[in-house]
Amino acid sequence: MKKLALYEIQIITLILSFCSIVYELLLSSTLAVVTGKPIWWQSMTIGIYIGGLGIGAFRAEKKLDQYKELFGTEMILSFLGMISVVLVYLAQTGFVMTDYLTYLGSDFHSSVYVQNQFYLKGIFFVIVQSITFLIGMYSGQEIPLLIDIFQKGKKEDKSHIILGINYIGTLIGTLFFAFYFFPKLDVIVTSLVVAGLNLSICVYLLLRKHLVFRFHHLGLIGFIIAGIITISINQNRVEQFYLKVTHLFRRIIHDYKLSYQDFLQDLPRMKDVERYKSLYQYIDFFDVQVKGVTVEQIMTLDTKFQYSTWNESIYHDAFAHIPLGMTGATPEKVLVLGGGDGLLIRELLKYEEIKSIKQIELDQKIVEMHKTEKRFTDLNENSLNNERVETIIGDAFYFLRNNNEKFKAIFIDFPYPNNYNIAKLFSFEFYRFVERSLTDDGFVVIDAPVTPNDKYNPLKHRGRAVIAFNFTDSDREYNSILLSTLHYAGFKKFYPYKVGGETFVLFRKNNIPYQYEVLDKGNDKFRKVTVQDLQSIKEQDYPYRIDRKYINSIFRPRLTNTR
Amino acid sequence: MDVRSQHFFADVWLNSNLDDATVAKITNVIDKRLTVIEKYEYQFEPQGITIVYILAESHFAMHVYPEHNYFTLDIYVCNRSVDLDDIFDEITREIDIAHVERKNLSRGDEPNKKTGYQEKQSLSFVYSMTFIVAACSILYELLMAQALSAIMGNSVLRYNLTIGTYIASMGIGALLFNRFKLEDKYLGLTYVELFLCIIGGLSPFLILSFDAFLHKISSTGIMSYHGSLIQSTSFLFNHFLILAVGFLSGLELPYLMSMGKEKTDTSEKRVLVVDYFGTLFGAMLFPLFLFPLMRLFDIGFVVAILNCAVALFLMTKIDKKYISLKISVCFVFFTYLITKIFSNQISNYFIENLYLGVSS
Repeated sequence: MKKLALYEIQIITLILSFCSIVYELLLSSTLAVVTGKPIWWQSMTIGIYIGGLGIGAFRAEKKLDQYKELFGTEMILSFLGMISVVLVYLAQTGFVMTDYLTYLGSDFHSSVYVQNQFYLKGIFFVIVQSITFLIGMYSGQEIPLLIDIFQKGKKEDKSHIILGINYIGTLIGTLFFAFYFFPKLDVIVTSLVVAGLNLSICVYLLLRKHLVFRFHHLGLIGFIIAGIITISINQNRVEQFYLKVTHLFRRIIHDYKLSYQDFLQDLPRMKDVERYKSLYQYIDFFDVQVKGVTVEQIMTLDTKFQYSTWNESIYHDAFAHIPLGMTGATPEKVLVLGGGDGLLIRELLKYEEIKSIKQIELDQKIVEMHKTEKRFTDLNENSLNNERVETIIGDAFYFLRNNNEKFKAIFIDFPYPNNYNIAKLFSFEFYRFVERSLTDDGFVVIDAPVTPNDKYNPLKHRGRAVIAFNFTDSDREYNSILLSTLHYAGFKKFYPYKVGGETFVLFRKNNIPYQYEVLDKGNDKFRKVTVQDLQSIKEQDYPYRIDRKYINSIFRPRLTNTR
Repeated sequence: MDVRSQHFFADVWLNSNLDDATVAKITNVIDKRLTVIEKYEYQFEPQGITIVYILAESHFAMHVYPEHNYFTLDIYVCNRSVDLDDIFDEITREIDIAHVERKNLSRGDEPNKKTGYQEKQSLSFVYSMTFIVAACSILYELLMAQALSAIMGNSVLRYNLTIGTYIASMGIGALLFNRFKLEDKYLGLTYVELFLCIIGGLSPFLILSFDAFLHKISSTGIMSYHGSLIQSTSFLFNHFLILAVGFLSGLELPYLMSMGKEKTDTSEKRVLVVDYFGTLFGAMLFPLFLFPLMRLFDIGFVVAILNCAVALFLMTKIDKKYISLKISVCFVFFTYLITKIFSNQISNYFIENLYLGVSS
């Protein structure tokens, strides 16, 4: 039996710590996107992983044959890494299907459904997090093993060298993941590449005769290689299965009254979901097909709904024309934050008095798609290529903080805050920058998750179970957070309104009353919003309280639960 | 007299024939490395040998089964200074081994309850320190990532770069440990914790103030805030802070591990285990509990106070002559306590004047 040379141990340490952190990042990023609750899942994943490291390091005490142990650990790790992402996808697919089927099947009180969903979530959690835990645990064994191998026969304590190299491997893994694997490679491909890297250490140990060759070693290696090949052949199928079920299962069964057997039958014939990955998010674009006929096309960001070709004009009518009508403003210079799809700008360009529109959008990929591809330029009427529009790719928060230009109208279209990064864009500090960039007679309108006190909300009435909906204290708190933050940032007149399931808040610095005439008769710019829709706005009531304790600040975020 | 000793066992299978020449190679190593007083050897019929040596250190015994190419070996020495693993490694270099099972047993640790209790107590002291400082380190890092995304935007990139820089600088700290370490571990660790809690606790303030300062310079019209000079200065300053905190955190663990090793070998690894759990605790505490509960600046103060408390504990273990260090630790601790009381006013002032009050 040969021993590893010092440089070999150091290189192996580097590779293993690289693999280990990449697995963790893969799991936490995939889970964050798949579940749509990034803060909770990323914290849980990193926690369970590090906890696993601890237990692994604890278990690694007193091993007799370190080489055999190292070989076994790497075999298990490459197996777990290989199945990790696929397992998350399949578990989520199973969760979505079972969840919705229990929902349809529950012809009884909604609390039973809620209870069932809780158990389902528990099962999902155990399935995916046991993989995280095991990866953590086996990775935790590596470092003590390598320290033992390294330390053997040395008087002086040199274990800090292994520790140091382990940190550097972790760094390389983090950077590689952030700048190469995650944006450039698919997550499944990444998991396979890293599993292969892990496996290569096993092969190396065997080839260089660091442990006694047994026949079953060959079998194990063959098994993993076969697994990697099988998954890489089927990766597209797995991903499409997951994407179609998450995007379409509920939608088609609920909106188009299909049975789930029909859905599963149709599934292989449905058009593939197009998935693009930008530096910041997954952009999914897909057709909703019922019996082979496309009824609408939908875009999602990180699986969160953005727009549907079927009803986006209601939404953008309400976003653009109601504020301009109610303020009677004729702004020359308009600022649009977000809205890379160009649909809001399409509506704004209908006003000839608007001379220039400046748009700040973070994600270059979305803008490029909506600027160049015909199906998108048809939808937004080529608005992003209009000479009145200037698009700047950048972080809106950073832009406003360093901006000195003043605008008479600011339209803000961000995703709803479900993590600290987006909560920042609904913060006191952010609105102070907005306030600074607004002329004294200007107005701002945001697409924000406020909740009206409706007696009955049709959105919550789906399938056979009726989820009882009442305006709750947490709704009141959420409204209070959004509006108190605006209040203390220096805004006075708030006008929240809801059209077709979407809510907006219009506000300005001064106390000049709004012109409600537009709600009575509409104007010629509206395409889909009817006078009845406009009339119903008058009856909406948004309970909230103004208090300093509700301020959402970047230094103390309060808006992080998913809405 | 010290009765602590070590007993080494090995079961060895060979690839080649276990002949007399091979046995001689093994006994030669023992002859060379240990002090042999008397030798006994018995040859069984038809095959098999038992060899026993009386050593000045204690004894050596070997049982040879030539028909299986297998022998067992045990070496017993009544001290802890001889490296039996090393002796056995020398033996393995001489012969062609197929498989080895080996074990080194420490014997003669006194069952004296009093010292056992003290040992346990000082070990739990090491463990709890490790837990706290590990949690503090990861918390500093998260604080800085959040503060950086507040001034530079693009949070995802900030978090990735911060975590990357931090882990790498921890690596540098661990690698350069030998160059920076002090003989007195407790003294060394006290210094590390003192610097760490000063830089870490103030990091959100330092990052925001420096940014405000750069804004001020650019507002005089000398250069643009977006110009490469100011941007790179800002980048260097902020990442220098991360580097400093990471480097100091990298020095911590080797100190703590060697404190654990003083007691027993297994406790060295347990320190590593506890370190992982401390990191876990900090990583979960920040996003789920601390950050929704208090302001970024307050978190900085609380973490620094906790970190400084560790330094206060360590201080009791070091020599009286380091009086100025002791005074500094107390001073920092009480300054942080007072700052924590007025933290609301201080952070309001900072946000209004240094963060919101700037524009280029």
